[in-house]
Parts: sequence; C-alpha cells; structure tokens
Amino acid sequence: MKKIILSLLSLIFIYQTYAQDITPDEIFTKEDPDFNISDIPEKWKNESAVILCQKLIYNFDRKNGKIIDKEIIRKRIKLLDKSSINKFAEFYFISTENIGINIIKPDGTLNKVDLKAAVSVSEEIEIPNFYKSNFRSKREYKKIAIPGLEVNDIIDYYYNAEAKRNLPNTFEYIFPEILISINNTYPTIKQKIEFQVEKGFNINFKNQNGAPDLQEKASPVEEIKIFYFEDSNRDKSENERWSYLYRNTPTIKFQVVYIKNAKNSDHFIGETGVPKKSVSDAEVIAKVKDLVFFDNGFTGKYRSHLGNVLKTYKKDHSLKEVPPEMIARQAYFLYRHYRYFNPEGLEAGNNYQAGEDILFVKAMFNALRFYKVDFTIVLAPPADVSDINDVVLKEELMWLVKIRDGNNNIFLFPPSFHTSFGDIPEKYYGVTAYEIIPNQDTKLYKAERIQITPATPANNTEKTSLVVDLDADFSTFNIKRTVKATGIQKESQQFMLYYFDVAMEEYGTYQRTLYPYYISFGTKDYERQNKYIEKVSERLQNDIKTDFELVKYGKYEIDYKGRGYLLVDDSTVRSEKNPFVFHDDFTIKGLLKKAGSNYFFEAGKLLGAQVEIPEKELERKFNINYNPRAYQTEIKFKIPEGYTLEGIENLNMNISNETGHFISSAAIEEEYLIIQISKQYTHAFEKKEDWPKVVAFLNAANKFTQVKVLMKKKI
Amino acid sequence: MKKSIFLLILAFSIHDGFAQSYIPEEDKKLAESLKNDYKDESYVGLGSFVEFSFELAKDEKDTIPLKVTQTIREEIICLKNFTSYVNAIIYDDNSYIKDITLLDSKGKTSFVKPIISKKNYEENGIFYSDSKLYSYVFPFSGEGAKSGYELTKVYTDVKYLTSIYFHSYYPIQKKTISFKVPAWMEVELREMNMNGYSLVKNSTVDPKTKATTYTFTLNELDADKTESHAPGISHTLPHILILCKSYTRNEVKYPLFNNTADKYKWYSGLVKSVNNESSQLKPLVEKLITGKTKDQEKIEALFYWVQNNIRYIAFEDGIAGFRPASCQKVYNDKYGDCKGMANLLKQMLLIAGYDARLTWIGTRHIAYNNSIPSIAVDNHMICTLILNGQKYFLDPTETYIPFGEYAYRIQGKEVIIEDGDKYLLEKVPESGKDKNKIQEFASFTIQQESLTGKKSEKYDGESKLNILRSYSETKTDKKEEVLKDFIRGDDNSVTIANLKSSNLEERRGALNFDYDIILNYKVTDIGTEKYVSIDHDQEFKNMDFDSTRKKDYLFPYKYYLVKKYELVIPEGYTVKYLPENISIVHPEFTVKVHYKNEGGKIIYTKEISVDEAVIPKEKFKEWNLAIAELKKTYEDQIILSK
Repeated sequence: MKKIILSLLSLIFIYQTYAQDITPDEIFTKEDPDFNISDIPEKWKNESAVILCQKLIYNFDRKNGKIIDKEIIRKRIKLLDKSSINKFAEFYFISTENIGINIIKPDGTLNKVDLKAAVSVSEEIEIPNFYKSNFRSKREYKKIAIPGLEVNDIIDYYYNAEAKRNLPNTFEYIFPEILISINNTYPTIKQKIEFQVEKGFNINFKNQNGAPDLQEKASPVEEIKIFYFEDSNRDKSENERWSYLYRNTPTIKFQVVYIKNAKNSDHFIGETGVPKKSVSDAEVIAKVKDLVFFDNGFTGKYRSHLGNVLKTYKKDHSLKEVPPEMIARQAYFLYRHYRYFNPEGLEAGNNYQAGEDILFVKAMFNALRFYKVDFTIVLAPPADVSDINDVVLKEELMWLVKIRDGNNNIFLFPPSFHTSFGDIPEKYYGVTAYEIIPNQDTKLYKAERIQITPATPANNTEKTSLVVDLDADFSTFNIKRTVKATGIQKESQQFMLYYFDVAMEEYGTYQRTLYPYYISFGTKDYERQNKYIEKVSERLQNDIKTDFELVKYGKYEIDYKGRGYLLVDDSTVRSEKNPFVFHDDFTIKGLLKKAGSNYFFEAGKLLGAQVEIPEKELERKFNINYNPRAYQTEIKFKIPEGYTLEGIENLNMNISNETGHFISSAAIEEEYLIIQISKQYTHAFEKKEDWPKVVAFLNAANKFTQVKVLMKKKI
Repeated sequence: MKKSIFLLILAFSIHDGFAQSYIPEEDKKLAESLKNDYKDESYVGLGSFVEFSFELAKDEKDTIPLKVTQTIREEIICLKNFTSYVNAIIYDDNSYIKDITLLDSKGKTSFVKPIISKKNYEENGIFYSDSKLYSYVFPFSGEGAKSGYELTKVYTDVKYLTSIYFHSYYPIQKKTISFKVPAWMEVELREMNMNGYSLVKNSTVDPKTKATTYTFTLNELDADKTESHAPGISHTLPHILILCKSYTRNEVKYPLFNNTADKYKWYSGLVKSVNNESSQLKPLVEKLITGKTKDQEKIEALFYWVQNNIRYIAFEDGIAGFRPASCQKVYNDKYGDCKGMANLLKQMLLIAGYDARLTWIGTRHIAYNNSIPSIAVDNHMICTLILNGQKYFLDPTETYIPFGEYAYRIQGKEVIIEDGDKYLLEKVPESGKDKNKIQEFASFTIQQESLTGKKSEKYDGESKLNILRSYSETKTDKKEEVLKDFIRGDDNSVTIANLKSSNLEERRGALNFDYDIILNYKVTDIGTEKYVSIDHDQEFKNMDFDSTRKKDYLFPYKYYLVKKYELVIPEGYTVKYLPENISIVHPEFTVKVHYKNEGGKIIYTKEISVDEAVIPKEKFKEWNLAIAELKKTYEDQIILSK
C-alpha cells in the first residue's frame, strides 16, 4: 500500500496570502472585557512583565482545493521593568500585513505603532522564543523598533498570519502536532485558546497536569466548529534541573488532520468535528491490524534475503533449526542493513514516510510471523511526554517489538547504526506501554499493558579506572583511563563510534548471501572517518578540559567487544551484553600545589567535576526525573619515591540514603594510593520532598572533589 | 555613523559535487610545500590583485558624477581535499557588485559558476543597516587545484571608499593594490601601518592619457585571524587610506574632502538639514530643571534623563547613517542611535540655556585622527557642553556615566565640535586607573574546613558602570539572584548572606557591597597542621596568552584591583609558613601579593593593575611570567601549626 502523507518537515508553502477579513482596528475595538484588564495582582508586582490577557486562535480550513491555516494572536502585556522594555522595544513578528500594535500609556493614552518601518529579519538571526510561532518551525519574520516604550506601558498587539497550500491529491493533510506547556514566559492573568476547525477535519486534544479541558461553543459559520478553553491566574514558566516540563506543568497537546480514509492512517482519528480526547485499546489494536497485519509490504526481497541469511547461518553452525532469538536477531540487523546501507532501501516501504518505527515493526512482523517466532507489538510513550493513559496523538507512541528469551523480555526498538540488539532508548525505560498480542486470527488480537524494562543502577553503569603517574617535574600527571559503560551510559558513549565497523561486518555477511549490493569505501569515506575520529578526540579533550588543565591528549581506542553484532554470538568476542569500553591517555596539570616545603595533592579532583546544586536550586517545585545509574571509579596513584601521603582519611566518605549514595575509601597499597569511589542514583523518580536526600549525596561528591592530601618528603 | 565593516566569513564547505579533475604534478608539489608553511590553512592566495579606476559620468548633470570601479582578481591554491573557497564582500546603498566570474587554473574564464548569496548584513548590536553581504563560494577539485575569480564592485559615491587592506583571512603570497588615477582626479594614497613590512611601490604615467598608476605590493602575508580583545584593524594591519580630494571637469574643480574643513562642511550640512522642533521638548526640560539652581544640577538632570529614558538602537541606513534623527522623533520614540541621542541632548541643553554642540568622534577602535580628511575617522557622535569656558563631553549612550566622566573608549580621542561654519578640534581628557579602582576587604576566621567572615567590595568608575547597567537590565524578580551570582562569581562553594549594597541607581561615588561570607573547603586539617587557601577569587589565574596570539590584548578600561584580607590565627596555632610575596612592576601592569603575620592575624594584600588598559604583544612574555608567579602563589597554602 502506498501512501503519501506530508510530514512536518516536508511542509512546502505553495504560496501565502494574508487574510484581511478582520483588521487589527476591529479587533482592538471589539468588546472583549478580558482585554480591558490594566491592573495586576499584588503578588506579581515584582515581575518583569505580566500578560494581562492573551487569545490565541488557530483556524484550520479548506476552500477551493486549498488547505488554509491561520494563527490569530492577540496579547496584552504590562511592562514592569527595563528588562521587559528592552525585550519589547525590539519587536519581532511573523511576516504579515494584518498586524496592529498599540501602546497604552499609564494615563490611558493610546498610541498606534506605525508599522511601515518594519524590516525583514535575516534567516540566520535567532528569533527570541517569545515571538516564535507555536505552530510552525520556520517562517519569515519581521522586526520593528517600538517607539515611546516606557515602564508601566501596556503593549497590546494583534496579528493574523495565514498560510494556504494546495490540497494534495491524496486528499489528506496532517498539520503538525503541538505540545505546549500553558505556563508562559510571564505570569498570565487570563488566556484563551481557540481552535476553529472546518467540520470535515479531525482534531485530537488532550490536557494534562491541570491544564483546562476543551469546550465547544456556538459558531457563527456553519462549516466551522469552535472549541476553546480559558485559563486564568497562571504563574510564569519555570523549569528545573531533572524535571520533565510536559509531565510537571499544565500542558496541552493537539493536532488537526484532514483525512479521507482514516483506516489507512497511522493517526488516531475520531469522529470528524468532535475533539478526540482519548485512545481506546480497540483503536490501538485496529491501528496495528491496519498498518501491520493487513500490509504485505515485506514479503519480497527482505524476507527472501533473510531466508538466505538464516540458511547460511544454519549451515555454518551445523544446526537443524535456527533458534527463535537468533531469527529475530538476524531480522533486526538485516532490517538495519536495508535502512542504512542498501541504496534500494526497503523495496515495498520506500514511499512510506509516516514513521521509521512502524516500518520497522512491519518488517519484524513479517519476518517473525513467517518464521514462527513468538512476539508481540508494543506501543510506548516517551517518559518525558505522556503517561499511557493520556496519549492522544500518534506522535506520542513509539512502535516496537517484544520477543522473549527464556524468562526475559527483549524489546526491539528501531535500530540505528550504533544500537545493539535489545537496546532501549533512554526515555523509554520503565514506561507503561500498550502490548498488542497478535494472533493468526486478527479477531483475537488482544491489548494489554506492559512495562518496558525499568532502568536500574545495575543496568546503567559507568566504571572508570584511572592510573595516575606524577612526572618528575612535579607538575604534570600522566593518566591512563579506561571507561566501561552499560545501558544508558553506554548509549551516551556511543557517539564515539563510526559506522565503518558495522558496514565492514555487513559487507562480509551479506555479500556471502549473494545480495547484489556490496559496500566499498573510497578515499572520501576514509577522509570522513578520519575527520570523525578527530572530532571525537576533540570532544573527549573538551570534556577533560572542563575538569582539568589539559596539557596533552594522547589518543583513544575503542574496544569493540561491546558491539552487538549479527552472526557473532560468542560473547567472549562481541556481544551487546559486554560493556562499551574505551581507553585513552592524557596529561594534565594543576593538581599539585605547594604547601611550604611539601605539596598538596588535590586527589579529590581526579574524580572530575561533579554536579553542583547552587543555593537557588535547593528549593524544589517539581518531582525529580533522571536516569538511575551507578558510577564506579578506581584511582591508582603512584606515590613518588621519597614521599609519603598524609590526610588520606579525608578521602573516606559515606553518604547513603534511599535515593542514592556517595561512598569513597582510600588506602595505601605498596607504592600506590588506591581510591575506590561509588556514586549511585538509585531510582528514575524521586518525590520533591526527597530532594534534600539527593542533594546530600551530590554534595558529598562535591566535597570529595575538594579533598587534598599532603605529599610529604620522607625525612 | 558608519562603522568599519569586516567581511563575514562563513565556515562552509562542499564535499561533493565536483568530479576530480586533472591537477598538474607541479601544482600538487606546490601545495605540498605550502602545507609545510601553512599547516592549518585550507587554501592560500597565490596572487591577489586589486585595481581601482576612476570614471566621470558622460553627462555632466548625471546624479552620479564620479564612479570608482574596484576589480579584484585572485588566484588561490587548495591545500586540503574536500574544500570549498568561501569569501564575502560588503556593499551598501553607495556601492554595488557588478559582476563575478570564476577563473580556471590557467586564469581563463571558467564555465563553473560560484554559489552566490546576498543577504542583509546584520552586525551584532546594529538593529538595521543598509549593508548587504555578498558571499561567493566555489569548490576545489582537490589538493593542489588552482582556481580564481574576478569580482567587480562599483562605488557610486567616493566618500564611502575610504581604505583598502592587504590581508585576508587566509594567507596571500602576493598582494598588489593599484590605483589608476586620471589626471583630472586628485587623490592622496596614504600608507598606514607599513612598519615591519617591505612595501614595494611603483608609479607609471600613461603618456597618452596622462593617468598615473600607483602600485603597492606586499608579499608573504599571513592569514589575519580574529582574536578576542584585539585592537581595531586600523591600528595594526597595513592598509592604504584613499583620500579623494577633488576632481576637475571642463576646467572646473569640484572639491571632495580636501581637508577636515570640507568634511565638516558636509557633516554640518547634514546636521542643518535636520528638522528639529525643539519646542516639543520645552515642557519636559522645564519640568526637569524646575527647582534646580546650580548649573551642574540642571545639566545632570537633562543628561541623565536621556541616558535613562532613551534606548540606544543603532541604525546605519544610507545617509541616515550620518544625519541625526530630529530631537522630537528621538524624544517621542524613546530610542535613537548615538547621533539621535546627542542631538536630543543638545536641543534640551539649548532650551535650558546652555551652549551645547554636536561632536564627531572616532572611538579608540579607530586609529585615525583629524589629519585625515575621511569619514573613516569618525564612528560616533556625542554632545559637547561649553560652560564657563570649559568643555564637557556628554555621551548619552553611556548609561549611568556621571557628568564630567568619560568612558575609556573615547578618552584621549580627538573630537570635531560644531562651531557654525568652522569647527573646533579638541581631545577628550584621559583619566588614570585610580578612577576605576576596585577595593575588597575581608576578615576571616577558621571554622572547621571553611573560612567565615565579613567582606566588603567597593567599585568605582567603569568597574562600577558595568554592574549598574547589568543590574538595571535584569528582570525585577531575578535581580537579587543575579547580584548574588555576580558576587559569588559562579562559585558554588561560596555562601553569602545579609548582602547590603549602596544605591544601585546612584551615579556618583563608589558602589559598595557588604555581606557575610563562607568560603567552603578552604581549610584542610592534616595532623596538627591547618592548610589554608585564602584568595578564592584568584583573579587573572588563567589570563596567560598562548604563543599563537599575535595581537595586543585590550582591556575595556584601565584596570585596578586592591585587596586586603585578614585571617585570625586560631588559638593555639602559630604560623608555620606563608607563601612567597610577589612584586612585579612594569609600566603596563603591576602584580603584587603580600603576606604578613601581624597581631594575631595574617594580613594578605594584593594589587593588580593594567595601567593603560592594554598588554602589548611585546610584553606578553613579562605578563605570562607575572601570571605564572601569581598562579604559584594562588596554589600555595598558608600553614598553621599547633
């Protein structure tokens, strides 16, 4: 089945016109008591500015073969200090002729801003966030210097920006999905959001964390339905370290689509003209059936190629049957090969642009079903966006496949160059997801809830070993480092990898299966690889520089044992079960300070900079979300001949509570100082009340970095 | 006012798209040898030839009587595979780019077209400018490939053709600049910053036309790389000032800028054409000075009102880049550029009965003085007040500056003050480092691993201005937090409490902060000894210059810090060791650190000054030695023992 759906990125503005239906003057004089507010509540007197009222109208229409959307914005803001004057004195707006800006002086005098002096803004200039459209990522902007602006003035502006584009032949149009926190840059006395939707369109909407729900109101035009909500007395937006904005602050999400055949769409389509506010299990099942079961896209080359691969594997390993887990593994990596290395792509899926994840699930479905491997299909929302029960947009769900290996679940997410078999992306650990259990009889499909494997400190580790030598000059330290990472920590280290190792492996594997395409690298590829290695080295050096005074960086080496591969199933050679490992060496200075005739060795600093919680962050508004993880560091420092160390007991620390710990111990073993450090974030979630406990072990880690030991000359 | 505009070079390269074409062996060898000399460069200009020619309009009444054509012809060799050549040139309302063609390795017109883009040139801090950036990009086929281009730019008003530089952002082996000056054209070509360069000059007269061609050549030019805190290029890079003085047509001499008087005539003509309706300002001026009897009070009221209420927004739009906006426009808009603000202040002072005049000045960024009749001399406008025979220079763009004090960026610079048909030349007075003194005093006691005490800080002059400005522009609800962050210097191991400050709106006098302070982790107990690190700010610790820096380092003003800390020696302890003292004094800078054990206290004093606000590159060695000493003492510890 071939479908063309315009994605967000491929939105092409065929042309734009500007609606002249309502002029700014008419808007400003229209009776709307909410926009008569001029005073601000006492509690916001010390704010920089206060939004007295704002009304955002999003209008979606269809006329004469065109899809039209309008963004109609009015904001009335009281400016209370010089900072806000500076901000609004240089005013940006989406390029439109239908705009009006009024300045209301404290005595009530109204000054209309002459917009003739507005000038276009170059593309490279970053538009301040406040003026950016919620609705579109890229548009032409203009700017104007607002005259006569003074503290206590009110700026009241209105604009209507319209875009029209031809309705595609498919008679389908998907507007970008919107996810916004309704806490604004400034506190807001009143805000109203209105969706005006042509009655043949579909709208999905969901409010979460206390954002108001959508209401319908009478429309003056029969073809248009109007949905709205009002909100008042809203504090300004404040974000905190380790908190999910959309999970902690009042948030709305919505999307408008115009679609003829809802069945073929990967969107959750409700009744036209009625906001769809939830998704049922039955709908999720239906989506899976429509998009995966009834789609025969992957029966061609991909599956016959997989057949060849499995045959070869069976022969090479003298097996009667390929074990189910290995079938899934081969299907997974062959899929990756098709997506990244095969110029022909996936023959049947080439035109399918809705989502990489659905394409992947289709491929896996066809392969696993054909080879009778038990599996289920999982649809999961990312932890920072939504709870499963609040999902209403297709963009909120990641499609994946679950297989079982003995008692363990293996979740297979769409692969990238560097992912291993069973890797879980950071934001999906521990989330509750839909699990669709397929059956040969589609009527018997079931939807259950399943929790993706949660992250724990045990499966997200980073072990660092530092062997430290002081040069004879008593100034520079030579360090040999080894880092071993698992789980999410492994993912974050994999930026070091280049695709060559994967490509070479696949060259060997798939060429044997007589697939016509083979990979060959030219000079350019090697140049690029060398550039990449330089870039990685630069990044590692920059990381070191944030912690130490770097004198010289040697080189890094990756140990490829931690890469999950296709046909290699010997974990002593390579396996995703192995950690990602790299070694490097470098020289630093600045850790030795003179203390009379002796030296202070800033041993604690070798741990590297630790998270510091400044005073202003000690009070916590939101609960805490981060990755549970465990860091272990071993430092082995060779004590220079003729010296002893005093004060190493200061390196012993133990702050441990239910949220995590920082434990360190130091000992002298022969001519070495050995320091063992363990730092752990225990859970993915902590209540804000427990923040002091988190701060306690974070502070301990910081304190550790300040510890110095005395290097004393032996008498 | 027009500022010098530099080329904006975008790092941009195109890797694909051009098939490898034949590169002769000798070119590959040349590239190989050039790579030894220019390790980090992607390409080198083998030859760059710039020619200026002057042309009179055919029709005497043409609105553009005189045009200058600038032709740039360059040959470049590529030193790295997968490289594209990127360059850009500025044009504006008084010039345009006529043409560009690419040249192949033999210098012939190539079939390949460069990628051209034209966009508004938005320099940082300028709200709107008529300047446009014309950038041109073309790929090289590989290492050793030679390519070139010829670009023609036409100046339609010679006033705006002020200078031409030899350097580029990549090395050039041979740069030749020539001027084909017809007999009817009078132009002075002044060589600037040629010390240390072997300039080759030549001039030839065409016997037929009597036109003289002047040629200036420099060889082996290194790339001119941007360095932070460096002087403006007119101070350092060799260039030719182009001073077009007059032209003669049909035996009639048409003056251009023959001398500064001519320039002033043009400036004052523009000023006269400003339609000031100062009566609109009268009620405001009267309100501001009512009840004030002393001149200084009245002047301050007006000067500070403009500083406080007119927002500086820079416009560089054609002729408006030189003509002030009317006083009533700036007053009503509540914004203006330097000219608009100076003009408004002048009109307000006139209403109040003072002698106030517009004044043209080039900030320290520009090397020139008024012996040069060129608009390149000036990039700023202020207002001069003449009171009891004394001149005061008022720059309303300098928010929070008190009356009678001058920002370092204009100190010592020559000004042109309007004086009817004539003008006055003066210099803005200079002030010493004492004006900007920062003083810190603290007394500490040891509390376990921390130093606890009270600290006071005092800021004067320009060290104070920056604090007042940032504070005034901070959101009201963030002011306290930002102030604390400033004092803590982003060091989370420092805790401060009970912060009291003097009035953060007050221009006169010093700005004071007093607060309680805890410096965590500054004391280490080992056995019977305490090791103490007393200076947590460690100013200038990482301010050494690396060997690659080529340009002087400029400070924003003359810097002067004096610090005195006292540490009470805990009972039962004696001083076992104090770090070494430092005393390094040069005419350009001073670094002094002193420890003393006196009356049960350790007295730590420190003095650092940069007396002329610059560390010249010749002094980098001495400066780096001083910083190394400073670092050593910062890393050393006071040792107390039982």
